Parts: sequence; structure tokens; C-alpha cells
Amino acid sequence: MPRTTTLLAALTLAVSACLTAGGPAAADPLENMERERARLIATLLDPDKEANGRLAEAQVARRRLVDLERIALRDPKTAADTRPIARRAFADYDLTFLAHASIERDMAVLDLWLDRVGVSTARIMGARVGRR
Amino acid sequence: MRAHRTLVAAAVVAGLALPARADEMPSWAPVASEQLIRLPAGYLEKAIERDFRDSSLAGALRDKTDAIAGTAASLADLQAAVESARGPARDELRHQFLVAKQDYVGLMGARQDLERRRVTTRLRLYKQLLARIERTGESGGDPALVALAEQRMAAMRRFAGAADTVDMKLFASATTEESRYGREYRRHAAAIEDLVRAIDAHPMNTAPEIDGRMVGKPEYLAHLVAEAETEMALLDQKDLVLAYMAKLVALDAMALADEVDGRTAEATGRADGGAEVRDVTAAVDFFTAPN
Repeated sequence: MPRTTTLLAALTLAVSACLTAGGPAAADPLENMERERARLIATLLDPDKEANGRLAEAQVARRRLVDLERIALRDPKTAADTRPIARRAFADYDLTFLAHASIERDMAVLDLWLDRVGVSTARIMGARVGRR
Repeated sequence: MRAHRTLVAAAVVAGLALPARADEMPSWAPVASEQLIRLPAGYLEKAIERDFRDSSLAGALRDKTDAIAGTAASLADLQAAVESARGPARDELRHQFLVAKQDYVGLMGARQDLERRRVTTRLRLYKQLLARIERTGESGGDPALVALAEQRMAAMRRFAGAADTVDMKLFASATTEESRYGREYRRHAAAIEDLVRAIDAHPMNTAPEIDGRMVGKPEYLAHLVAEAETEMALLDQKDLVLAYMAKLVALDAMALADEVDGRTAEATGRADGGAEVRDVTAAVDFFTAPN
């Protein structure tokens, strides 16, 4: 009887493993990369974090983002991906592959990101407060 | 004599109705499968030929070829025998020679039909493969997709050009280590490169050549289609040769029958008194003389 139970448990595990592997939880490198980049920018923009803690956390996140950017670029499935997320991703290399582009251009991640989304010191200084 | 007339009729029929009945025809039904498309271009033709060799059509073609070889040998023997024979034996041998020629034309016609079936099937298969490759190989013509593909290629080029610089800057500090993904990827990439080199150098994967020039799969398939079309045209010409051969057999048979008839009639005429009996004027004297 215990042997049957063990066998049943093993079968259940195997079936659930198969279902999980083929289910909707399949990895999407582009989405993972977007998520990690958003987390990195949120960390860099978080005013509640202490400067040193923010820097250490951002370095770890950037390291992880480098890997995720490489995974997304090297994934053979992206060659056939025509979704809007893929179109947006490849429309602006600097903004999408932020970690690589910032190292390549020798810029801070946040500086490059702000530059690509159109926020610069001159524009901030030239802006005036008003109602739209 | 009756045999000669039968032969004339059979030879005429052989000349007019060379193709055999369709339901007796063996078959070969290859499929333009994904598996076939994925094969290296140089191996494609060999794989198709191997598939054909295993078919009942190939077996029937082999049987016909063997039968034709046997008939051709007996034709040569009979021809030599006819030339050396005299008298009634010569007529009999000429008759046998005509029958053998008729068999030969019949067998060649049947083989020709099988060969045509092989070439037609092969041509249809090549066209299907070419159409599938052209269909899957095209970009779709959508300008947005073409632009996306170009952007992706540009991103890949930029990434490939900057990856080493990024690594050097990233790992410049002693505290930063290469990630597990980076290490594993490098190891796998080296293994993949070795395997790709081995695949590229494999003799079964060498690109096919046309006139000493390396060509891609679509161009090679287009070349095979043209070759099959050429083979079809030559088969048409062979059909014409066979039709003329069949006509000659029929004419020879008619000539032989006529000759034998003539000799028989001559012999019969002599036995009945010859030309005098058949000539009505020969009996005029019987009527003009007084009784």
C-alpha cells in the first residue's frame, strides 16, 4: 500500500511538472527583460532609498539585466516574434537594451534612460509650471 | 497463313495502343514532407531516389528492363537464323522474328509508360518542394515586418560588436564576477561552434553544384525540375521512335502475309492448270468450233 501511494505521488509530480513546463508560465525573454529594466529604473528613481543601498542594489540589477538582454537578443524565438512588444523593443536599441547601451556609451543607466525618454537638465530648467 | 494475318492485326494494335491499362500499373507516391525539405540539398536527390527504389514502380521497371534484355538477345539470334534459312523454314523464322519484334515493341512501350510515370511523379514532387521552400522562405512582403527584421538585424550587429567591450568594462572590477548564464553560455557556444563546423564540413551537407558553381536549395530544385522536364521531352521522342518501330513491324507482317499468299496462290494456280484455266479466252475454241 505505501508503495502504491509513493508511486501515485511520483506520477502526480511528473504530471504536474509536465503541465507546468508546457503551460502559460513559459518564459518570455522580452517580457522578463522589460520587467527587470522597470525594476532597475524604479530602484534608481526611488527617493526613499539610501544612496549607498540604491547603488549596490542597482549594480546587482544591472548585472542581471545584462544577462536578460543577452537572453532576449539570442533567443531564436524573437526572430519570429511580431508582437507589439517586439516592435517597440527593436525600435530603440538604447532604450531597450539599456544596460548594454549604457556600458557601451560609458554613461550611467539613469542618465541614458532619461536622455532617451526626452528628459534633460535643459528641458527641466526650461519647463514652467502650469495646467494642461 | 492465319497466323500471319493475326500477327498483322496484333502489330497494328500494338502500334496504336502501346500504353498498358492504368489499374495494372504499379505506383510510387512520394510526399513533399517537412522532413524532406529539411534535408541538405545535396542529399535530397539521393533520398528521393532511395524512396523510388523501394517502390513497386521501381520493381516493375526492373522486371521490364530484364525482359527487354532477353527479347533483344533473341532478336539478334532470330535475325541471324532468318538470313541463313531457306524455303518454308525461312518463312517460319521470319514469322518468329516479327513476333519477337512485336514483343520487343510492346515491352519497350510498357517500360516507357512506367518511365513516364516515374518522371511525372518526380517532376510533381520537385515542384511541390520548390513551392513550399519559396512559400516559407519569403518575408511576407509586409513593410512593417521587413522593417522589424532590419531593426533586429541592426540590434544583433551592434550587440555582437559591443559584447566584448561590455564584458571588459563589466568585469574590470575584481568584485564583479561573470554570471552563471555568461559562463554556461560561453561553454555551450564553444560546443555549438564545433558542432556547426563539423556539420558544415560534413560531405553529406556540401552545397550542390551546377556547372561547377555552388547553388542554394531553391536554385538546385529549379534545376532538378528543368532536368525532369527535359527527361519528359526525351520520353516523348522515344514514344515516336517506338510508334515508328510498331508501324514497321505491321508493314513487315503485311508484306510477309502478302508474299506467302502470293506464293500459295501461284502454287494453287499451277495445280489447277495455271493461267490458261483462269483466262476465259482460252475456252473460246470450244465454243467457236462446230458441234
